[in-house]
Amino acid sequence: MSKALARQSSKVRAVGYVYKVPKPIRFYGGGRSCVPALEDEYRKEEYTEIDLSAVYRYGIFPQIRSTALSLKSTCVEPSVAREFWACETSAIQLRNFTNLSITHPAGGHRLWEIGSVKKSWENLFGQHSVDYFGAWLNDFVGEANANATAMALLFSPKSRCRGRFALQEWALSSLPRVLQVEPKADWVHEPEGILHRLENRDAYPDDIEAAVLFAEVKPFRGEQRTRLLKALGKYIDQHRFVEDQDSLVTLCSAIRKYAMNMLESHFEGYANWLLPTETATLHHEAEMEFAKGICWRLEFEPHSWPAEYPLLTKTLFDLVDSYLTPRLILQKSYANTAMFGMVALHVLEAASTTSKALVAKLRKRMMDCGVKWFAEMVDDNVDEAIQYISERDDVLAREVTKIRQG
Amino acid sequence: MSAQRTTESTPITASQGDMLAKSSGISDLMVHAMLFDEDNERTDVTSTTQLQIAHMGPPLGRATLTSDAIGRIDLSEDQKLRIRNFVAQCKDASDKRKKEYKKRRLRADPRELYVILPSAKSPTGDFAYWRFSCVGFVLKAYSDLKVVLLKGPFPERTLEELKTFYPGLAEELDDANTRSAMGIGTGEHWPVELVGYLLHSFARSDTEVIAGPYTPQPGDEYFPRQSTSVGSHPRKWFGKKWKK
Repeated sequence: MSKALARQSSKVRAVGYVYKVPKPIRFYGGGRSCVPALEDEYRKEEYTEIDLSAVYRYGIFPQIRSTALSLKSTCVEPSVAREFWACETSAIQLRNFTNLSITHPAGGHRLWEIGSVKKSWENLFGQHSVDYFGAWLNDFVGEANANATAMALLFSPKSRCRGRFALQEWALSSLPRVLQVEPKADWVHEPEGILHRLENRDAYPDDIEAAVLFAEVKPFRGEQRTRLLKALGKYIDQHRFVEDQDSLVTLCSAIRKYAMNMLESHFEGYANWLLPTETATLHHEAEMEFAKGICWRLEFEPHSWPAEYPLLTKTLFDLVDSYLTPRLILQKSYANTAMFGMVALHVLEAASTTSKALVAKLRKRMMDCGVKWFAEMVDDNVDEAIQYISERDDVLAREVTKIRQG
Repeated sequence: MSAQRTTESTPITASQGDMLAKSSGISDLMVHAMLFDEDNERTDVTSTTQLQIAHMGPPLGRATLTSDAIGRIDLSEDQKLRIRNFVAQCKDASDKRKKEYKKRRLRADPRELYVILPSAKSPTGDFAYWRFSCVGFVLKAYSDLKVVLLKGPFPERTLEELKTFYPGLAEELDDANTRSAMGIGTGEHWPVELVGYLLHSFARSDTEVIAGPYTPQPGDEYFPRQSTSVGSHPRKWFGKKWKK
């Protein structure tokens, strides 16, 4: 790039700006020089057009500068390299690295030290960007490991001035391939993009979480719905015992979406998720969400009947039964969990031809429990369920009413 | 009277489950409804008191805000517990999703959370949670107690009026798809349930509130009521947006 072009570029907003860099570089940012020794090599190159708007489609790096370097001619500190190679997943968490120095062997010039920029990076762009960057690095190193020539583009926060994008980038010659970076921001609106993240076992954990969250607000039909259920089922399976609040939000989102979309053939499998293991039990919020999920599924979505779901019925019965004591019902989410379970059991029993009068047992226990407001809450919610069910299936609604009246 | 404006000087009482309202700030037009969400009764509530509330912002969740008006009936401890349970079960991932949007420099889609007509929509396979307007959130909390606060017919409102009632969504309401997703797609007038109506419903005796719902009149969007409704005012009355 000529100095004139560089000067001109520095005054232009980067969005949508097309300029030239060596060979097929797909993505990079601009920045002030931090590796002066590379400048001459850069100028010798043929230029290929690229579109900087890709940077902005990501929405991750509003202000960045880049340094391009070849890992083939770059030293990575052995201690760090070990951590890189030891990592089995491509989703490297940059925060796990305390220090990463990449130096240019020609002059021993330190090109980058990740440890020193990590904090400011996090402050400016959040952990997501740091992690994302970590994943990139992993890809770069993978390239180098495969004895391919690679080019790393390292980003760091530039100044805080907005709207400017200083364009003076650095690259080495002989760079046959650089990372191909697809636009990231738009996929959250597309069911196919969401599914791609959910189904890809190498997908970055942040992206998987986001995919679960955005799946909740998108319609999935036909084959896409089948794929979604499979992917969400796997996610729930792997995460149902999480304890931290942040992960619980995502888990509960997955549970709701799964429950409202699952097929009737999934009901019994769903019940399995409510069961504790010998060493782990569900967080009370996740448990409430499972109970709510099946309750809403039966209340708001059509389902065929008569039908028998013995495991689901037994699991819900045990769940409600265990919380119907004054000692527990006022704690945590147990009242809501028991209430949702009770409503679901009313519908399940109404839809069953082999009634075991489980609801009657629970109703008696509920009355004996002596928590009047809870009994009222259950009755009011059963009444509401009857009302919604009657809008689509009057006969079933009448059956639920019979169960409600004992 | 069980609905009143808060003032800067005279403290009033608020209890768990009371309905709180925010005014437009420049008139008595009420634009946001919330539920008071503190365990203990407060007797020091003025227009500047920070209160713990639960609301459909959006997003759905808890926050700390001041209140310009309070509507209440005497709730039993049991009923307060039930409102607390209602708030606890109304969970969604919108707050976290909002952060994801921000991270990706995308604009959050209000259609994911918010509905205007009807004021509450039950969960579906596409949206696996209840969607509310701020009014719908309060109405649902009370309808769970078998207290029905409002009953139609409701005064019909134009798009321009709706932008005044939903100042946070004024831009989005210009988009036909967004409007449609929020339930106000076809037609030119819509019978939406407004915040002021709730206050007028509460501004009856407790017996009346419990006995039956209130049917609002034009002008009830204000609290206290004004003889003319929003539609009959010149635009400049409603703040900066109208003055430009």
